[in-house]
Amino acid sequence: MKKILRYTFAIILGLGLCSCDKLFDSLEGDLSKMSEEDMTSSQAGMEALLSDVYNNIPMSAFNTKDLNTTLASYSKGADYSIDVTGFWDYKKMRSINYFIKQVDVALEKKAINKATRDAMLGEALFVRAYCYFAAVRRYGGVPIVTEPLDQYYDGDKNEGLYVKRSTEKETWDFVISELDKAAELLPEERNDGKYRATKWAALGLQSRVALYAASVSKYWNKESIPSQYKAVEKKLTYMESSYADTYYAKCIEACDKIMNSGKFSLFGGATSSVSTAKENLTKLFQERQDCEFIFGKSYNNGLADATNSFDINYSPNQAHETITNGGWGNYSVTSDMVDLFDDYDGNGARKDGTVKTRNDGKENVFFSQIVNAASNFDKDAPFVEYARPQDPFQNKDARFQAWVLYPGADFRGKTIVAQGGIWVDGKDPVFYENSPFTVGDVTYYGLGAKNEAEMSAFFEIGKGATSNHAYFWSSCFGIRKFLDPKQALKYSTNPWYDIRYAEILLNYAEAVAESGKGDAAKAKEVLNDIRHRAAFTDDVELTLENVLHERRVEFAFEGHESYTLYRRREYLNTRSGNQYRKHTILPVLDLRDGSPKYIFARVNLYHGDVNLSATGLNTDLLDYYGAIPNFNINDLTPNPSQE
Amino acid sequence: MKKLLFQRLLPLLLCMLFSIPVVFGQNQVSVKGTIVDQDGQPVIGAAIMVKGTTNGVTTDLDGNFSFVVPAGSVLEISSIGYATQEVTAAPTLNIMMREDVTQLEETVVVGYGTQRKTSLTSAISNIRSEELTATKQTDVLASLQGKVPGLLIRQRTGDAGDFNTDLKLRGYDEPLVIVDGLVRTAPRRSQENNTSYSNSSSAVLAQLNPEDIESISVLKDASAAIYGMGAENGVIIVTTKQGSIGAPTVKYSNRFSFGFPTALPDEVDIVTWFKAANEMNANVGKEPRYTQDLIDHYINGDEGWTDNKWYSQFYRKYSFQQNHQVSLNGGNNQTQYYLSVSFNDDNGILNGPQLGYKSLSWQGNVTTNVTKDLKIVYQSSLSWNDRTSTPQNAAQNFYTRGLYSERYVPWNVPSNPTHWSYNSGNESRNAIGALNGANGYDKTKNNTFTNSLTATYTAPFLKGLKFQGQVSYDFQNRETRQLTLAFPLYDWQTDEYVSSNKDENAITERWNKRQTLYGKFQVNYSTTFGKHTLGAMAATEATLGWAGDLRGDRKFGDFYTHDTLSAADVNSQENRGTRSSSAKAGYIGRINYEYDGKYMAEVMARYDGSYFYAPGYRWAFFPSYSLAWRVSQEEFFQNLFPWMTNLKLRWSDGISGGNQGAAYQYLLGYNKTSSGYVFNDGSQVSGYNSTKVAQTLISWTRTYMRDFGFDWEINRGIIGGSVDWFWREQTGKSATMSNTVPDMYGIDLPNLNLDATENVGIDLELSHRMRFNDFNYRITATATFSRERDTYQEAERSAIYTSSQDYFEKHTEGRWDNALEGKYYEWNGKGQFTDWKDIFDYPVLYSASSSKKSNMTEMVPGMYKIDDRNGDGVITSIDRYYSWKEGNPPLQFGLMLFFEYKNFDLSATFNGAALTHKNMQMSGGMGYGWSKTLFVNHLDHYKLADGYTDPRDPQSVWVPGYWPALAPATGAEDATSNATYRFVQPYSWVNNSFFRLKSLEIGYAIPKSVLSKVHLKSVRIHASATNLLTICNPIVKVWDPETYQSSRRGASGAPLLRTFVIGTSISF
Repeated sequence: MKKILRYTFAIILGLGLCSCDKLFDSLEGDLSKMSEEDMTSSQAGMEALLSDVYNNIPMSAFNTKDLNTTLASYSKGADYSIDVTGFWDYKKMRSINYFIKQVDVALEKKAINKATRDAMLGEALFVRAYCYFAAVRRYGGVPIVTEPLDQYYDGDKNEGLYVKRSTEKETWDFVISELDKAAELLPEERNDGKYRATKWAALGLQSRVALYAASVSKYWNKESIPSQYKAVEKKLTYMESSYADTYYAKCIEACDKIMNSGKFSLFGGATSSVSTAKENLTKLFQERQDCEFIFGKSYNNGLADATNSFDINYSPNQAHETITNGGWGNYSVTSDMVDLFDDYDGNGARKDGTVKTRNDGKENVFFSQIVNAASNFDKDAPFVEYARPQDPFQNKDARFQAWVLYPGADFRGKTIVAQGGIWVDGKDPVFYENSPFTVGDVTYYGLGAKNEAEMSAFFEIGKGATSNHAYFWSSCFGIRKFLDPKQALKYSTNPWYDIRYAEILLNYAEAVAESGKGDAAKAKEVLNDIRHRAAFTDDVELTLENVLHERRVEFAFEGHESYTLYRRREYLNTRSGNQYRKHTILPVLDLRDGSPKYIFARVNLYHGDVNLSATGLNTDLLDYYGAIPNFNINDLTPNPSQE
Repeated sequence: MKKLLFQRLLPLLLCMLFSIPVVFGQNQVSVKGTIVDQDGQPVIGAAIMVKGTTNGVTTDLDGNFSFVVPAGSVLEISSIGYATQEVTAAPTLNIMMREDVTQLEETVVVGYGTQRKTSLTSAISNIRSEELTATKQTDVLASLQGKVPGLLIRQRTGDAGDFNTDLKLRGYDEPLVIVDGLVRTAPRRSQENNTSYSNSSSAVLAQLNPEDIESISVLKDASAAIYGMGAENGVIIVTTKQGSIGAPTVKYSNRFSFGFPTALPDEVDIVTWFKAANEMNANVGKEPRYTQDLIDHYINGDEGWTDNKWYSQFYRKYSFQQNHQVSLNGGNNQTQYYLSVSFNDDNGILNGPQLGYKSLSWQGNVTTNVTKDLKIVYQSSLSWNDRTSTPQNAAQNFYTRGLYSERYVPWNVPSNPTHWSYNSGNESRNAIGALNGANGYDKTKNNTFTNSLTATYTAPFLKGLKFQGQVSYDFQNRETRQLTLAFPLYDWQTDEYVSSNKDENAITERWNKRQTLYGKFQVNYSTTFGKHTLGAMAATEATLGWAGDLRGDRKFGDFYTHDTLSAADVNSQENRGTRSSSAKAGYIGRINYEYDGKYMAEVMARYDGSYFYAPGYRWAFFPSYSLAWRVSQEEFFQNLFPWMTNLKLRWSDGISGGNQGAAYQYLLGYNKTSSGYVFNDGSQVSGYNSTKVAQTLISWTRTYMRDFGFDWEINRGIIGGSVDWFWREQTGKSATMSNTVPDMYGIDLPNLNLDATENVGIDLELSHRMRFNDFNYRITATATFSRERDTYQEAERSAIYTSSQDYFEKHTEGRWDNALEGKYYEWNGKGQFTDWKDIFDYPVLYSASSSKKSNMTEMVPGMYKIDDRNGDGVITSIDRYYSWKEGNPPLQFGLMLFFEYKNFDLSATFNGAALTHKNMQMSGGMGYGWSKTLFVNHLDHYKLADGYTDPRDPQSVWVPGYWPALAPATGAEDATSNATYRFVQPYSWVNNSFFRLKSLEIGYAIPKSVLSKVHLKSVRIHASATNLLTICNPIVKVWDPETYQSSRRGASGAPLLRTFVIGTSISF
């Protein structure tokens, strides 16, 4: 009996070996994740969270939307789609809102001090305002969520989760007032990160937002949207011109604060030397110039493979780096853009910069589809003959020379070859083909060089998806801004200027010109400051036309154009003749009299020439308001285009 | 009357067939007799042999026999199920045979113990060593094929060391594999992907040596639930051989195997291909693909122009594999041992000199009685596997690259054979260069070391009480080194450099380590009183696991010297490491009760805990029970059907648990994001975010299993079989709560135990065995029909179907798996288009946006007129009909034959599947569209009667064939837009049923009389072949029907092999 008792005891002991949860709690746990406790217990943890907050900014760095406008084009095809970056990512919004709560948790734990807490809160508010700015410009009024909604989730009706859309005006006002709060909290200068938001970043963004809201108010009804739409009736997609002045005033106020701070100036300043201007305007985009940098992003992450592949994608075919599966030469600049750059009249004063190709002045005549047996080409047109391909561009704005590659330009030790055709005596001109012609002892080629490696444009254009044409411009102009002037790079580390001082000046000038408020004299002065940096010595008047012209030129390829068109409701309007279309100039080697000369034929850009009607695009005006995602599930009023 | 006559004639016939002519001599005695069993019933087919000779007869249906034997000779009387007897010859012999207790008492290994076979209450199949090794297959998986009803084994690829075989029980996912009481997994190569391994149970079986196995039990129903986690898919219990008392026996066996691809497509000659390619372009109004100049080179037989079949070049003429094994078995009363070592070398079918697989393994089992009551068993195994293959990039592109290569381009430059040639068709990937090592290699070494110590204490004070403790430690180590090299490609005519292949010079080293510690304490008690038999078992067990890996990557740039990490560029280095640990524990209890050998009941339960879940959700209770009734033991039954020696009805019902999804979902955690943010130039701050809410509610899945079956047997196994109906519902599968919250909430809803899947099916087994004197045979046929459907799909709760078509495509809940996921139904054809006019006149459009004109560009003569089922004039997906799916066929079957005559044996195993289709994917590798070759069977296609001058002329006359007119597919390099193959057409969606002679083996054991002179115990010589014969749709035969369809256009992985094996086993 004693024995049996002993064994019974042994059994109970044996079965009890793995006493419930102790075994599981003794494990190391989940090593693939950090706990919330880890994140909020140190400043480094909070900065790791903040890093993700910053990554949520819908900034269109280098991935520029200008390629969808008439000013530039992808080389392999023409895109005209109406498109501005929007924001409908409430997951990101939740993590920003969550971070806003966590800054106080970290402060309580003394993981960060009060100053850091204020700065981090200001940064989060800044980023959140940036996101809602992107949301309102794309969708009109959106649901404004300013805290994590966990408390409203009950698994059943979840009522608190169905946040309604605010009106468009409320949303704009929200963004502007949040930026006031952010400007209050953010420091004027930062020694803990040159790319973190400052008070001036908040004010700079505010000036942009206010100008945007003002333009939308003023031009919202430019082409009337019928009011029977629910979203219009509820003012979710509704602004009116009476709102405009307040916003212009807010823009002027924000600009004034920055301009009066004395912290910023245009890099390089006024000069009368075109070459000095060109040098300054190149340098500005190669490295961060603190005096002009208000907010932006760094691509210099210290790693061998930095994330910016701008240089490799957009370097011309004649001077590029190669990476596996990479492309290059994929940024063509149209003649519509090139014509906008003014000429110097000889005394440094402004002169119309439209490239002179004909003696009869008919610069608005474009040949279309001349690839087809040259049938649409007018052989008797009075073309201007030039000795060298670069001759038509010699007197252009320093900004053109610093930012645009053109035929005959010197770049990275090469002379850019971008020739679109050849014309010998007694024959039809040949376009887009690299046909050789021997005149005298010299053999000339249709595209300017024997080998494809020695040219930058037009090679194998239209040859289908598998050919190499994507590596060659479909125009004779390519982008130069942001490219390293000396060598091709696999990964460039140039910073991106999201908000630079020049924008503040032009925002100011536009707000004053549009509203008549503010200091008109100062507005004229700052408008001309920008021109003076580009070696213009004269002054232009403060007119809306002059301001917008300057904006297009100064911010060439920086992605401002599509937003300008969008906010001013001009995206679908036609600016050249009756056409919204991309054009280029085709440099043709003219050998008709035996000696090489160059003529320039204005043509529709090869891509897109086939599909577009002569009247341009027919995009629905309602597309200024994007479709509300999942409006059924979200129980939201749909936008007009969805009704 | 007629029946009677037959009854009397049959034994006579049998005797005539099988009796050996009697040798008459001096002192002959005529013997006549009857043989009955204990109940006085005649024993049919019992063998009466003159001992030491081959003389003998068998009994007839009445148990009678008669023959003439030398006087005084000893007769040996044997029959299956009875104990063998010896008697001295006498004129009249009436013999009663007794049931062979050892056979009836045959025990079967079940979970945490053994049971008498007759007392089983569940669907458990048992395979003993003799049956398993009857055929000398390379691995256990192959040996099991066709032998167990419900066990579906299907080979996917045939490359050396792949272990890429699917193992399914009743159509569920992989079952658990228990080796000597422990759950084991082994690395298995993921298909078409060189560097990724996953741990699987099928690979354990594939890597075990069949010779080392004592028995295998397959637990198919709720009886598996006793193993807890993972047992919902069934359990396969493997027991290895223990030493036996006696003088040491050494056994050596070897096997030499030659493998040939079962199917390699037969490519047409190059001129036919050129013409076909030009015909293909002409059919859609395009310029010829190949110039007449090029074609003329071949027609004229110009020097330097060769036909290069890249695809065929990938494979050796044959693969060669050899296997050697030595085992030592013996012991005394105190200690017994079984030790074995085996070596395996397989060069594989891929045609590269350095490629192949080698393994060396060891198994050692030692049993010792420490005291009278205490027994200790130590078991250990070690295995070293070493595999060399091509690096990942090369392998991923192999098969297709082969078919896309232009055939007029040789693989190396003829004037300089050390230079690999550039081929525009294969995207700068000269796969033959890669096979020969120019592209680098992938070397993987897997080492596994297992150890188990079991102590069993038999209580001296209470009969039937036993205590057992077991501790085991497994260690698994894997080293992978992958070297990728860029290599130059040259123009095959000029030997000028064209380009490099697309890879960078890079090296990756990866070390992976897993350890498992297991402990168990168990008490067994069994007792018999009167007619009652009672058994009880209680156990507790816990498993702890640790895994970790370390990986380093570097690139070489252009300067490659040798293959170590340190030799590569330090600036490009990347490294990473992970670590994880796991734990599970359980309490187990079981009670068996049996009354009078007739009624049996079993109740068992587990209380299981897993580290996966939040405290409070970790533990779950999984009970089950089973009942059985041996009807054949009832008196009334024995009176009614005396010949039915066994009939047992079984019922089982239970719940098993499983883990799903990821561990630690209950913890809110932050993951590192892919990108960081730069706050200051030159340094990056990594970002962390969390997009989910913590989820505490998720817990175990529950799988309900039911099985109703009966086993029957006539005349002690002459004919027998079993039938099982089974049902299973797996509930609580992890699914994201359906989208009922708005975007504004901003999180992904957590996963909960929501979804459910149901399986229903039936298993059948029919067997027959017989012995006539020296001739002995067994036949077993098995079949399984199993289907699956989703009974609950959370995602469909909130789904909004925009149209009936949308519903048809997306709603799968409640639909049986032949129609699941929208991809298992296809369009019906209503005859083929005979010519262009026919296409033009067809009133139905092939897409909503198309026009009649686009029908012309999308279809070619010979394609099927897709049936516009709903009559709306446009073919959409709703016009499809249900069809059997690809892969995992619902009906699978097997047949095993075994014959033994004297010292010869012959066995054959067949397997097959039905109710399944295969998509031959015409747009790629089958010679249509963008490949650079055409297979001979495709020559039977629609073509123009008068060449191809103007194919689009409606007046043209087309000659019909099986396949449609040749036409380039969408995406073809020289096609514009052509949706020719947008629809899966009846000619390529074909029945994939097959029946194949999986293995055939003949063996001969050298007679003992001969062996004793050379002091050998036994010598057996065998020859065998696998995949010898296949009956299937001839269209599918181009690829093997047993391989799965995959995205790789019918050609994925290395082909299956037809092997020819010779081998010997010697014991002394």
